[in-house]
Amino acid sequence: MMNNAPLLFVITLVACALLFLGLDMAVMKLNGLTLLYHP
Amino acid sequence: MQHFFKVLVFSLLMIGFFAGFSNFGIPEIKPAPPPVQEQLDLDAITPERFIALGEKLFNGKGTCTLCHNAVGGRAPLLNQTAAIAGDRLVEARYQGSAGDAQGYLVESLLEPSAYVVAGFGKAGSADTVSPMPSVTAGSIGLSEVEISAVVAYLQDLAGLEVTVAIPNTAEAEASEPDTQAKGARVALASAEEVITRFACTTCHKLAGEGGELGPDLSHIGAIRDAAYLRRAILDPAADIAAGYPPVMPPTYATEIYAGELELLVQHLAALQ
Amino acid sequence: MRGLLARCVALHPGFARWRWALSGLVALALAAFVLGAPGEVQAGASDNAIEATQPVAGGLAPAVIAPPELTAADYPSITGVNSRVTVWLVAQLHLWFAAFVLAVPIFVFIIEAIGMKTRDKRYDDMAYEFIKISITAYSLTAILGGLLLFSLIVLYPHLFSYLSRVFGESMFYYALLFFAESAALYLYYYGWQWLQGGFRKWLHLTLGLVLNAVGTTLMFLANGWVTFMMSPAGLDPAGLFAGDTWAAMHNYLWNPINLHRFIANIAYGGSIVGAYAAFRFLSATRPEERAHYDWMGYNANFIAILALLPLPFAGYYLAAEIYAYSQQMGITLMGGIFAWLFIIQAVLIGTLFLSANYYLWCGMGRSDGAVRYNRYIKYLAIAIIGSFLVWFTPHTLVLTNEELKALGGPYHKYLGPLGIMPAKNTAVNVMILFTALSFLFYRRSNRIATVAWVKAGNAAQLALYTAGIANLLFLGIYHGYFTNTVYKVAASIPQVMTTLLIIVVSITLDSVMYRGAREVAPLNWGRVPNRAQYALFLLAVAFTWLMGLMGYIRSGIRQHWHVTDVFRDASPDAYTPTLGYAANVVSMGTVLFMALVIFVFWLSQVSSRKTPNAGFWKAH
Repeated sequence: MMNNAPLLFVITLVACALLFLGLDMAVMKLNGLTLLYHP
Repeated sequence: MQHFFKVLVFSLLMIGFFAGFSNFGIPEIKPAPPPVQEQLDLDAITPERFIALGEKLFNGKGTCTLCHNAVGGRAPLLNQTAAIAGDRLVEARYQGSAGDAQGYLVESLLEPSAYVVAGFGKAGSADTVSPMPSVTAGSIGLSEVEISAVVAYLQDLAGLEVTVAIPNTAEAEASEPDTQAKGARVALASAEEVITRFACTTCHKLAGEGGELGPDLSHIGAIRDAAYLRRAILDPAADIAAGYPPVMPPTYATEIYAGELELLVQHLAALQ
Repeated sequence: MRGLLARCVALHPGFARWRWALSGLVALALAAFVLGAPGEVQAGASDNAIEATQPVAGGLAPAVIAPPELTAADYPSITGVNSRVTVWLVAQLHLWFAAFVLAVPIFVFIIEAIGMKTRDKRYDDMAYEFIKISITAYSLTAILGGLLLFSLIVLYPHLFSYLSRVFGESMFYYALLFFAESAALYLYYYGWQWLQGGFRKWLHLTLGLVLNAVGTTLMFLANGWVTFMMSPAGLDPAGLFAGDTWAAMHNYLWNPINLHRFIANIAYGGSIVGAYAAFRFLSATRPEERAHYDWMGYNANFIAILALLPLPFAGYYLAAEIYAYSQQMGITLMGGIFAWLFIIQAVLIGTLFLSANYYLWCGMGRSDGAVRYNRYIKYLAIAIIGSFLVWFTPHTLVLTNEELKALGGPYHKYLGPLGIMPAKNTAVNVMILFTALSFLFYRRSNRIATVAWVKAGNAAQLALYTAGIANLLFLGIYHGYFTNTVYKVAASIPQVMTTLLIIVVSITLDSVMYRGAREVAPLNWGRVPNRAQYALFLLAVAFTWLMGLMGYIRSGIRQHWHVTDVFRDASPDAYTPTLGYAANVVSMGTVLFMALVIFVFWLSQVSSRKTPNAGFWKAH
């Protein structure tokens, strides 16, 4: 598995995407806002 | 030495490029000169000229268009505000004390947080606090007459009849004593002189004598301390005594000298 | 304290002599404190002219200081001297030198510590060479500071009098601290070769720490005076100052400016010593000399870039605080004519990033292993230039109706959407990320990783950057175009955090990946094209010019006020000059500064030169 670079790329990509999404949501929440804006 | 000159020429070329771009790469705009403190000639004022004055203040000294414009979306557009002001008075979120549409407009300039249009409040205040700066202080520094002119302009802008009373010379003098002599007059030496000069007894009672528009100050020291009194003179709108209209001019802060203010405050605070 | 003293004496018998000199100094400083009790200083600095026009309370209340109301006649004029340009240039030159002189000890301290840790003498020699350059610049800083003081007293007496009454005490401590700064600097520099090895080296490093602490305090004090003029505090609603100097010092913009200047100084200092190294590299004749100055230039550039990366964020924080202090001032800053200034700034910062990256790419030629990365360079260049172009796109530029007419409309016809702040924020973040990537490639160029999971590590790095850039674009596009102002501003925070997170994680991951890596071949220091040295020069010139420009806007947003909304500027020069005019003054200042700096560089070479003079001195 450690040598299957494409698979690892996809896994890391998803993990990082989720991490950044969580970061975005947390920061927006701290500012009293939501990540997705409902006008 | 050859490298020295190469480096020199290279540096000068780069500096020349930066300077050239700043001079020719961007449009040359001449910034507006600093505002001149003009004297109003109230003897010759007509309704049209009063509205024109309001428009000039709205676009210039008042800096209203910095935020109230169609581009930035920082503050509501004011084209129809005078027309819908009456409706706002009955809304539940209205926090002010104005009795009519005209009063609302004046109040919206002096106490912008009395009614905050949805979506334009300070961040995190849930539209209860307005981000608008004070129009009577600092670099804006509108006088009472100028605020009336802006209100007249707003009424005219909405296509309404102008209901603001246009001040005559006598009234203007009462509200703005001796603007010309400002900075040149000799400081007053006693609290009594200060009270006479600023005509406090026109509205307030002192030792039982005086007007009834504002609270009786004959024994004010018994209930208010010096800090409160100082603020009440410099920023009358900060706290209006119950049962009285918010009519005290906010202009004393710019007219009374520091020493005079202290004389007056200490005198009032001693009236037990 | 006694124990330390005893230890010093034991270590070095000569210290006993020093002890007396030291106690003498302390006694002198104490005497100065006692004689210059704060009350007296204030009384001494009071100004009769102010009291005549604007009387302050006598007897009843504590002394309050009122801002004077001036007329054009209150400003002295000297025939043939433009007061504003004089003070402007002198202040700017003082600031450039001060920034350099304050920054150098910061990274000299760090380099010295690195040298002590690695026991690599090259670091110690480089640190010594850096501080040597700054010594001559130090006296120039003081001279220019004195010149600034005199020009203020002569040309703007009422302003200076007002400020010195508000800040009397702190100005006095400022002067006193200068003694401490000089003492620490001279001990640090002249004692370098003396305080070597073991305990002495630690003592020397401590001296460096003291030097930096004093220097930074000096800057913070002066920043307090400057920011008071922008965002005055400690005043009552009528603008009267009641005597709380700390409140005036600790005003709204003090800390944002402190942070911004601290970081910018380091970047600036790095770029100036980089120019020095480039200059020496170009004029070097021997290969060892070229190798030495190549290495020095690389380190200087590294310092400059390291400090440059967080600078946009510090600048953004400062701008946000200006908005929070006064929306009016914020709009003056970002709208109207000053908006074009940020386009010029974009050109300058783009120049900085491009030349720094270019230098890194050229520097990869030192390694025989760099060929493996050469094909990626063009993509880096495209991404950085693309981001630069987005950043460079102007937005709405409206303040007054007259300006609107002059421009023919608020938006640029086609590029308008790229001009909004979220697009620019996204572009800056992408640019910073790709610069970090350049650095990563540079680090890797001469090494071959030996860990088993190289492929996995590379895949993870690629995924990290991909996800991060996607997140930047999502935040920028979604919040920039489909939400309101509050969201646009708020979305910039996770953007910044994303960028910082990627940089930290990827550099950490890379250093783990390359632990125990083997070298392709020893680095060929000195094998770098001459044009790379011009990139270093460009960095220094662009930094200097940019600092001048931003100094102009920092001061310019006060408009016709000496102290915002409190103390009006009634001088004939109270108007805001056009950007072209400001740029010309800044250019003039930059030429003057560069001329002085080259003189300083030359001086630091002269001291080691010797001319044979047989036959001049009489024989004994």
